Amino acid sequence: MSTEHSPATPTAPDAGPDAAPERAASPTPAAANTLGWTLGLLGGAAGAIALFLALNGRSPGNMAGGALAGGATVLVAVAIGRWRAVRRADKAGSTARWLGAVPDERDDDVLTRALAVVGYVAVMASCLAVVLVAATSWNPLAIVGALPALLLGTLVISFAVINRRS
Amino acid sequence: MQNDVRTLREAEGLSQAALGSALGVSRQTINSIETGKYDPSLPLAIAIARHFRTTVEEIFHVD
Repeated sequence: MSTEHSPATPTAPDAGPDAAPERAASPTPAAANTLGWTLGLLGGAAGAIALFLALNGRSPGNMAGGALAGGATVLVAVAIGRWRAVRRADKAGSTARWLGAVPDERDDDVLTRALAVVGYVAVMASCLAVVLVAATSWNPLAIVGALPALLLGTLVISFAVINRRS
Repeated sequence: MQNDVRTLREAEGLSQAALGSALGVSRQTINSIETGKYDPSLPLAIAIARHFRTTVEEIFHVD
């Protein structure tokens, strides 16, 4: 890796030959991705509404309402996470930074390791689901419907444990 | 991996939050590095070394 400084990069006066070059003020990570985060939030809202419209009248019970409520809950959590990550950065945890789309490298590492655990569980759970559907008289929709809940729960628990231990 | 980040940080009178802000990471990350629970990436390790005007080898020690 080159250690020579670009001629255009200013250094502080009297800083010495090994001083790091001064850098122009750059936007915070939150400010840099505000547009992307906002578009993502709007896309999520549109997706939740589209899911509600797709399920309304075609799904058993109040599945459409439940999907809309779940989606709205996620969007609210994302907005709160963003607010905490931006306005209360010193107090925000890994979850808030991820929800606010401003994770640092350790947050990225924690999520990657948590998703690896989810992957293991997903493979085993899907195999088990196939066996249960084929070998039992249980409602297949209930078995398949339990998979997302199982994987989300696995993600939450593994994220919390790995975050605490690293 | 053991390191001297805490010693260097305290010698400069910086809080974990202040050092994290200077390096573009969270206070939580700085704490995890100092306690040896998290090993920084190469770019972050180099940034830490440059911040304290020393080398990576002077700060981080293989167990």
